[in-house]
Amino acid sequence: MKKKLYFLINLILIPIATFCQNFNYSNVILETVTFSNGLNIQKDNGSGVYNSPQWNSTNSKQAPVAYISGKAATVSSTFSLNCSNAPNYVWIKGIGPESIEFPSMKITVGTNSAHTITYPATAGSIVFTASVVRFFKPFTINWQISFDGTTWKSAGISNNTLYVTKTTPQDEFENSDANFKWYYTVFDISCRNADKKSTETDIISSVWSEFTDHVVINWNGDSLYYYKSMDTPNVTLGSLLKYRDAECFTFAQLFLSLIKIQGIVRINNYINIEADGSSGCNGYPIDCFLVKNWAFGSPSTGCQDFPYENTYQTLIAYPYTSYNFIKTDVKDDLGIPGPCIKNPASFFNNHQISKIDGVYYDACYGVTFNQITDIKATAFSGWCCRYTDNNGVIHALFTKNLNLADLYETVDTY
Amino acid sequence: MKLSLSLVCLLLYSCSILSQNIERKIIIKDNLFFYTTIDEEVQIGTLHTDTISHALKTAKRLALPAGRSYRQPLNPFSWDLQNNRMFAINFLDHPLNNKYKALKCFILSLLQEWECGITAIDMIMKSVDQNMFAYNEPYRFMQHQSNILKGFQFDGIVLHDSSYGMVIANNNQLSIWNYANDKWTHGELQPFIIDGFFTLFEANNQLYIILNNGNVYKVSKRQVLTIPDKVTNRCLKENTLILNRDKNTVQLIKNNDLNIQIPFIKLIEMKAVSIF
Repeated sequence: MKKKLYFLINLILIPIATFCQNFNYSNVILETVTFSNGLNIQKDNGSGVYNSPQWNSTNSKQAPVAYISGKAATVSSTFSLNCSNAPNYVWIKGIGPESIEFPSMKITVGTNSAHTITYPATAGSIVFTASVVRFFKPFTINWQISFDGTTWKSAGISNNTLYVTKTTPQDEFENSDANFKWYYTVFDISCRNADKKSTETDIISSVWSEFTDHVVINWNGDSLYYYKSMDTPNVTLGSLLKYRDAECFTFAQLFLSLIKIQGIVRINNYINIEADGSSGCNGYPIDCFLVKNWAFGSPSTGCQDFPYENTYQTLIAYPYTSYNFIKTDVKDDLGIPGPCIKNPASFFNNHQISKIDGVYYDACYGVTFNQITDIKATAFSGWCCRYTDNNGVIHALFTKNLNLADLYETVDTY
Repeated sequence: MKLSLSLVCLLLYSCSILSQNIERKIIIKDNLFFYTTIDEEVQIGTLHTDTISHALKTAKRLALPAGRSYRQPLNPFSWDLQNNRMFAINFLDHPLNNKYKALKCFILSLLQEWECGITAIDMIMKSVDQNMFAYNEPYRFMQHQSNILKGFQFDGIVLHDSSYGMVIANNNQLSIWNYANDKWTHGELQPFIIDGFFTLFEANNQLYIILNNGNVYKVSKRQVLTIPDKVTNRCLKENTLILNRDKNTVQLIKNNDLNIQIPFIKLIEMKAVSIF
């Protein structure tokens, strides 16, 4: 009887002691997830690219991931087992969105104290459809573990934002922050708006829709402002994304970047417009324009064609939300809104827009034009010529006669 | 041990190089050196100056009401000195900056140090409203040849006869301009392969252009001679010109050799190579 009892107790205890005496599925912790064979993504703050692992259990925010269409996401992951006596091996698999699976692999459990389990870099079961833009926010992988390859239990969930571009993005300018780079927000706005689109025309029209409602937001949902501060010095894509407040140069660059990141090539796409240099008053050429709306008061100059005058020394003063004229015959009124701002700066020598397939896109105001002459007619309140007197006072002489000059465009490729 | 030694070396090296690139050249005049840098974010310029017996890092930093864009292809800041005046082409991107009015001239003694509480925005606004010394006719001319910019480059300097010389290029065509007595004169458009930026300088009262590939050509009033006068085999992107107007010499120094800790006069002796 004693022998039988001893045998029975051993029968119960021995398998546990030899397998995993204190193992429990809930002891499995997903530690990291690494995506490989993808595209580098630059941080918006200019501090470099996101590194792997793109998902880490200790991070409050996870890094984004990007792939070119026609490829599959390739993922590895690590787990720890919180038990003193772990099994020799386990099975791991991942189940992603849209039936993408990271197939089951039999993996040897590490002999270290954390019993690290490393799921090797493995391609997903489905490639992202060629030429189709995709936007996964989030790209969720349900990780599963099994002792026997049959019974599966949850081993944690990873969430990363994953972008798929139509083709290989155009090259970055490695040594300059001033120009096109593969920024997080560029991937985000482009793929968010062009999700599931595949033709160049559809992608261009979809990414343009980001600008038409005058609300442009970055990957984090923060507004990108057009002249939140009217003296913003930011004129590059990098500084727009870093400071989230910038001038017209940057919104034209942003729109073109959203196209370039999809690998779509358009040359002669970056347009500088300015007055054509027609004669203004007293030999000064017309060199500025007013974007709607400006209210013209009483004429005060002796100049017939340019009868209105504003003067200034510090054009924009604290709190940098309006013009600081000394004399004001012409007053800035609410007019055409810009991204995230009701009444942006509107007194310019030049303005930057984009031109794609013969259409002018003004990303600052979310409007398109078929001809350059339409801009003047639709958006301007007047022309101006400027000079600085010997006391350092700038005199801006205005006309509301838009026939006195035209716009001249200089074409560059961004 | 090896790692810590490497880290110390890296630290010493990083302390001995400039954080911003020198724009085109260093001018020596009256035993003073002058060089310019451009702020990487807001494009505005700084003129650095000190005596040549001091190191580059000790230079006074004067705020310039001029700068240049960071867009590609890069065209470094175009500037020059004559007597007590500085000439500059203000080509920074700003919605109020009229590039036809970009040719500026400042009195050196009126430039203020950055340390005096001046802000970059103050200087940008000053730069766009400061009167020009001449209308930028070369730019307008080039623009009207073709409004499509491709390989657009320019540089301007003051010549020995106090006129202002400028070479401007676009679409592999260049033209030579001279401003004297309130009037521009220029040569015809000349086909010329331009790969990257170029810089103008004078030696022995002769105007030269050095291309990005290091080849030096004589520039007449009407054209750039097509046979190089000198072949330096030094890429302009990786070198800085040293124009010594006290000794009438022209030298090149590798950017990597621009140690800011060493007295400049010694640095030249150690590292610069002569062209003229």
